[in-house]
Amino acid sequence: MAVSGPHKEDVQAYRAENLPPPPPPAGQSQSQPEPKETFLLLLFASAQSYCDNKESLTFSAPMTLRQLFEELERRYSGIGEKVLKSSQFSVNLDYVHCTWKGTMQGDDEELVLKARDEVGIIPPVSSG
Amino acid sequence: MPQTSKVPNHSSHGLSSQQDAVKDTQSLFADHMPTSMTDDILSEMGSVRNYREGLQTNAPLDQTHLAHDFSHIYTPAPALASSRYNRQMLIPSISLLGQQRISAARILIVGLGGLGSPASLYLAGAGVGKLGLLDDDDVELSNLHRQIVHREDSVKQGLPKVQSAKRACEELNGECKVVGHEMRLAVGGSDGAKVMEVFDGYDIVLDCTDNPATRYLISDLCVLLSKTLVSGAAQRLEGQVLLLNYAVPPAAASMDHTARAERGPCYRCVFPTPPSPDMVLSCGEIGILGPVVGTIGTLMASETLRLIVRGLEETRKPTMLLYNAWPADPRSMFRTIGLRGARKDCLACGKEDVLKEKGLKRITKDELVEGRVDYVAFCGVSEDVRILKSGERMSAQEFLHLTAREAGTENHQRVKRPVIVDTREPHEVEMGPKIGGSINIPLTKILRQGRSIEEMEALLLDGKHDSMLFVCQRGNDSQIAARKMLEARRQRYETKAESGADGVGTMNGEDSRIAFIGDIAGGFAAIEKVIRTSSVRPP
Repeated sequence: MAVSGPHKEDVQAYRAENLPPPPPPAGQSQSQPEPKETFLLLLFASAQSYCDNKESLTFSAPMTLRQLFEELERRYSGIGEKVLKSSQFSVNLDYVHCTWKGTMQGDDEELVLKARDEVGIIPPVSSG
Repeated sequence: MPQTSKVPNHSSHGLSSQQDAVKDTQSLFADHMPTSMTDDILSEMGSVRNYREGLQTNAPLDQTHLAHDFSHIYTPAPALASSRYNRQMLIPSISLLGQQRISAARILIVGLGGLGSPASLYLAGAGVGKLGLLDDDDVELSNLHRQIVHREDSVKQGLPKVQSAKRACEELNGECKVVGHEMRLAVGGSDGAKVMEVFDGYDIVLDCTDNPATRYLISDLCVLLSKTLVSGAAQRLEGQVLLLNYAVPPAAASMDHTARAERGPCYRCVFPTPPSPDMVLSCGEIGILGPVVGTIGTLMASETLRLIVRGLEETRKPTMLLYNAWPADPRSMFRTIGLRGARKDCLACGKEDVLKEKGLKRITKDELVEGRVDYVAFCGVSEDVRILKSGERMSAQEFLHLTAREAGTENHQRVKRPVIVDTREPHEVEMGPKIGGSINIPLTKILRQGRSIEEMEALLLDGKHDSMLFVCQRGNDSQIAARKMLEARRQRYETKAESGADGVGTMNGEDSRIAFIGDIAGGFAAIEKVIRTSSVRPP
């Protein structure tokens, strides 16, 4: 038994998050459902290795930075201490002032992330 | 061809040479065109004709004088322009001044590995005046896939990286003065003063090292000595480049109210908290692709040259370049993140009064030189996990002997075998040793997916097994996995006990069907050691 391939639940969750919903059955309303409003979280270096080597994650907008990191800690227990504490954060390619001290603190912790925003977690890389 | 001597001279030879030259120029027209045509052209070029006529009608003395010495109207091209640096000097933003600055620049490269290799070669090639190379390591075979400044020959000779790189740089450009510093970058004792002295002999420092403690030390040294720092790092398929502690010209500083500091941010400003030691892995552990670290080293060389040409000043806002060699979206191969300027409460480069308000003090030169700033303690060391009791751990020796004995037992039905769970990541299993019959469930899955625990429980209770042994490379992850499993079993027992289910448990709260849940202490590293040193053959 090798548990290395993606689990069925993972695949279903991925589909639910990323694939368009199935077309409505014939005869029903033709109006398309609103596309899900999401923002992208980019994971670099150790943030990536901590989150099952995923390059990015998507989240529903709107959400504050603090809420985002709470959600991350729920999904990836320990990420705060191991990764976020030493990392820098960016929103749309600009640094934001946030520090992980058990929770997210800083001038920008209540910054609201909107649909199509791009948030980055940038841990220090030290090898070479 | 007529020869023009470098020193203008008035000898008859010099005169005839110059006359030959004039004749040659005329023959360019005369030999290839009919005379009438030449005259037509000359008549159109009135000014040229007048000039020539003027020459003819003037006293021969003047002509002689002109032929002897043109120095008052003619300056030869500067030697640099026709030098080996010509192609880079053709770039308008470099030109002569840029090359003169490059030729005068003093650059120190700390670390002659994957980053330092291309950086040293390109900077030597570009002709920096003085190139310092600092490292204390020897060249190894596993370096060569990415550390392109070194050669197999250096491995055979067991050469220090500094000597190996120095040889390559000198072979590339004999004009470049390469200075080797075969030393460990350390402070305290006599080392501190020595390191200060070395750093002080350069204008720009390139941090091409491989660990956080050294990175903070280099940054602090650069702050104290006002040296520009070009910092690069790479792991796996990613890299970062930062330009730090650069001088901001007064005009730019006063125009930009957010960055009043005289210098750009230092490494501590950008990363005030060191990475968790558990997440810090060297290239030897995490892996690195040659061209990735090479790209970062090359970008560092390019940034260094840009800064030299600009006169060691930077007016642009601080940024961090991120490189991902194999991104899912090809548009995100390079990203540049805008940073803030220097932190006023930075321990290395902050403002004294701001730090004082917070009860902090800036790091002084004396503290650093005397080794009173403990960089290793600041960055922490990865400690061995100790979360299992000794009764929950099996030594590698014991494991091998038990397994070997079981394999020798004739009646296999009577012996229940342990479920052996290998908690390494799949690619680590692929490249590492394996235990026959083991299953691979990476720790990341065990920690995040309740389903993995259920699967393991099902195996453990299938009637063929009576124990579960976790194993990993060093015996850290295996303890975490075993602890998780032990907790899951305890919870299961408590639930069953509360609901009054039939006796799966014993009085002391353990499941009677399970003999042992634990790990192999020291993991594969310990197993390999036992196999190497004893006659026990692997199962």
